[in-house]
Amino acid sequence: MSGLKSIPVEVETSPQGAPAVSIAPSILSQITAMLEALISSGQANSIDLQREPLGPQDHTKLRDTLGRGELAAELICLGPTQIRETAVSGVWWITHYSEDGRVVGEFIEVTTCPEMLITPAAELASGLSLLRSRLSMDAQVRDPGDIVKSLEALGLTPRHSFQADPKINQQVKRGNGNAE
Amino acid sequence: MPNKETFVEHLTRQGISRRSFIKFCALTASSLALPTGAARVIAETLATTPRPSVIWLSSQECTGCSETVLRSFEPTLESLILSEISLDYHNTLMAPSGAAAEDARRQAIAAGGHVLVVDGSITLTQQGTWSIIAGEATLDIIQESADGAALIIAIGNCAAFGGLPRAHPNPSDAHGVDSIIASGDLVTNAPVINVPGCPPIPEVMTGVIVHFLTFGVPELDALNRPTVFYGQTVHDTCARLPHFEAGNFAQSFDDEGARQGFCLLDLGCKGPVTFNACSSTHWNGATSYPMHSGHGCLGCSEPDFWDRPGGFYTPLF
Amino acid sequence: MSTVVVDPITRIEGHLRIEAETNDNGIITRATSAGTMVRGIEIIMKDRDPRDAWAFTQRICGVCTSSHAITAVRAVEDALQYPIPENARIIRNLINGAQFVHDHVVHFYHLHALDWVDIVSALNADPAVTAEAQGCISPGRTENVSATYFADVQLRLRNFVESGQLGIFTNGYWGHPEYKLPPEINLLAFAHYLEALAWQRRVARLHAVFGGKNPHPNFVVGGCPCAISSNEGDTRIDGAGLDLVAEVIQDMQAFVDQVYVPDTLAIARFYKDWFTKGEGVGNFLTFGDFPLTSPGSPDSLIDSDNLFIPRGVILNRDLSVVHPLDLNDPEQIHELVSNSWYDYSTGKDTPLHPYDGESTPNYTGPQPPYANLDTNQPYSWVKSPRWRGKAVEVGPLAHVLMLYATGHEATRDLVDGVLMELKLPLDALYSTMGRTAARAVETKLIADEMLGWYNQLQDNIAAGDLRTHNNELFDPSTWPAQARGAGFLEAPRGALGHWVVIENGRIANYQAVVPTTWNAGPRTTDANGKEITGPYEAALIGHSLQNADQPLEILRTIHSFDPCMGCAVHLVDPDGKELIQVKVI
Repeated sequence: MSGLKSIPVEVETSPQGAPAVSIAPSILSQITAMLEALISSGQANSIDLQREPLGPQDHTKLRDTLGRGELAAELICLGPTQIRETAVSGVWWITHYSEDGRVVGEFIEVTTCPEMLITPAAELASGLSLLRSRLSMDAQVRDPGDIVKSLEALGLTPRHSFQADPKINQQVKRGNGNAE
Repeated sequence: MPNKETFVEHLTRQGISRRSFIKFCALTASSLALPTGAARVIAETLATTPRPSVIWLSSQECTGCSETVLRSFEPTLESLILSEISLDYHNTLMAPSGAAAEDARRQAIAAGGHVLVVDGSITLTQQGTWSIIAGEATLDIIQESADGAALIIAIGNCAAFGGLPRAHPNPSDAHGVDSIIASGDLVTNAPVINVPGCPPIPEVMTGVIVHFLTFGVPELDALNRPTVFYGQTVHDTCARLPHFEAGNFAQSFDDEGARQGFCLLDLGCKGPVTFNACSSTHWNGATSYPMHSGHGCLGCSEPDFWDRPGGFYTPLF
Repeated sequence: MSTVVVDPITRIEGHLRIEAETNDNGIITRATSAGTMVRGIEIIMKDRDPRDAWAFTQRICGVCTSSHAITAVRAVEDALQYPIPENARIIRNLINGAQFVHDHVVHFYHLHALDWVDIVSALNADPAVTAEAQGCISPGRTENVSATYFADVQLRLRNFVESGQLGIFTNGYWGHPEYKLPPEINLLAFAHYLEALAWQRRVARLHAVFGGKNPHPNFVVGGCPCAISSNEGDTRIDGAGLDLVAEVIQDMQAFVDQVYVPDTLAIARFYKDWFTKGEGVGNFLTFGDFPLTSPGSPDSLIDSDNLFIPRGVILNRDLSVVHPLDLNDPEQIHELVSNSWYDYSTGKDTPLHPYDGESTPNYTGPQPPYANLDTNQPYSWVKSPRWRGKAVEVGPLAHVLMLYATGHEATRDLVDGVLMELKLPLDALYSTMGRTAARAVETKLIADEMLGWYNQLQDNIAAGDLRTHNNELFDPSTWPAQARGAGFLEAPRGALGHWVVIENGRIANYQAVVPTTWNAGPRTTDANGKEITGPYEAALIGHSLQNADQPLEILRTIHSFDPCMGCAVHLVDPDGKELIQVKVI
């Protein structure tokens, strides 16, 4: 018994506790099949990377194989989203971030153009009215005296702002003991 | 009551772009572990689905379940209040009080097809007089509000299983929603989804609502909990599982092992018997979860967890 | 004469009913405050492991989600004379401080503001004037200050209102003549209502770092459970976690200084008449909190001079005398059930100290459905606490007055500055709007302290002290056979105390007296037959209602107390066979 125990054994575990298995090849096969389908029937498709048991090396393998293409777009909607076409035309890598900067979604889309890059026709009309409304706000010639009068009607005059007491040390100390 | 707008009509009014809507559908489908293609179904369905009316009734509550929804990062509470649902009755947030508030509730019920959310347990002691709102026993208010409801969600351990008030010896005869349906004290044909936890993670709550609107009731376990969120134990997905497997257990809250993030089994962690999403979805915008901040799981998504023999600090095994 | 009934009172925690008798001129002559729900957690605490008590009592309330938990661990630590490490003292202060700041901002915007702000009126605002007003109200603010920003918010609001489905704003009292804010201030306040919703979930992350989650973060007897990480990533209390805590503290300070305090003052200016009504009883009580050093704690809590908010009682608005307070003195704190739905075996009118308390819940009110309570009979699930027989107010106004009376410089500067800006005397504080202003003032005071506490924690860690938990007395076999102790804390709503008796390692007796109980309890009669009215009921007298169907005036004053009915908790262990109750509303 002690003989067996003297053999050092290390079980490689992924964060989920399962032994590490490389899944990148399987995903790349799926992408290949999806691209074939896109070419033959025009059907778009996608893979949700967060639902796949990716190990750290899988991510790197996918990125290396797919590479980086010509187009990268950064969107701000419900937080940032990055859309990059890979070096493989028609294969896109989409990373969704929350408003506070965490990765909340990661997809590979196989399509001629991800839907999020397109401006829907239905929104053009509201874009036009937004532009018109902003132009009309600019066009209003505001006499500074008018603004002052409006503020007086509100009973407001410029006042000092509430600042933190300057005697309070506002420096934040970091873990290495240095204040910044 | 005017015709309800669809989601997409409402989002457009709110100046929320189609891009944001697409992103929201994709993330929701992902969080519900739905197959690819589901995001599109969600988008298409919500485009034609009227915004549902939600009536939130609190019985013997501590308000923690309302507070947890307020902490929701995805989707946000502002979006819930202004966009996805019409929260037509909620004692903690609504503008009017008294008769005007009760009228708002009755208007929403009259339209039918609403979602009824219940938090807090329901008391039957002394003919239900231990919980009265606007001069009516809360049990009666729940019955009135369940009529015509399309769905009942019991949020939190109290509404699902009786919670803290039901802990031994249950002096107020407190019950969860399933229990008063089983006893006949509440009569309804609406499906019931339990979203337990003390409180539950907010993204679980909002995911359940969206799933219901697009695909109907999600797959439920034997305790009526959505399996997508309650199908695994917090032990299965805990980052400290490798320590458990290696036999590294903290013996006190501040020993060397604790500081290295050892497994908290010996300090009473109930993770192995607790089904919830805490160690996969995490809490407060993925900031942390109980074990990562050094305390074992209390087991708060399970029935009768308050009465588990030995209490919170006795090891499971 | 008629009676106005408001039930449910919304935008509070829990279940509250107000009945107000008005004379022929529509002025309130008598008010009744009734807690209408009880969870009756009798005996639940009895026989349990005292180390579990924090988790049970924490669920009394999910709003003040750390208050009961900290009080409970302090009660057990006091009973066992169980000291905690210095870092744990600091972390508990950070958790409680964050609770105050989060709670008060959310209260102001999401629970109280709709009493003062008419959101439908915001549709008539000029966004450019709103932006100018923002610049006057808070010149230090640089984000979300443009006319375009306010125009966008207004557009959102307009579209929302036009949809017809108004959600939580349905049946609000929009257009009520008592709303006095100009449309621009209404728009500004509504924009901040939305911003505060986003802010509050960000700052709750401080609790998640130290306690694993919010609501209901975790605690432990003997210190804090959050061990400091040996290597980055081992536990949540690592470099990144502490950086996040600093970020939250700065986020809190910025929002309080640039949004919450200026908005409170801006709104107060248009409601100066609300500085002359809603006083309450003129007596104030604090147990004190935020121990500043650890001279062998739990002794850190004993000396009032070691507490940031000092302990004491102020009577009849007299700030020159701070009466000392002792939680263990049988002559000081009592609870009565004369007008509450409980029985005492010693007689319903007996005042009982928490250590001697006993109750049996017994509902003797009208059978539902009912239109009115009989206010000559017991009418509430809330008890009536008294200090030396007097009714006292607890909460932000009590905190600020105690700090002012004991000469705290930053408090005096802030309060004097606010009063000067509004051109009001000190007496203006004894009012609905005074209480509301005090809430904003104390939020800033506490937010300003937190970075200093955080830096102390970093200093300790840098010097090599990583201790967060003292394990020496964690095992019940180390405890004496009998022990009793009192834990106390200042919650955002006021003074909170838990009393515990431990026998043979189990809870024999557990009792709490909670802030809202002091404020919301029913009237009682003293030994001389004189009626003693509690703060809520006293504060409403003299209010004049413009429209009984839209009792905005009642809501303004009741909300100024920030009711937490779930916290009107009374866990009393009667001697012998009787029951312990958590009378939670």
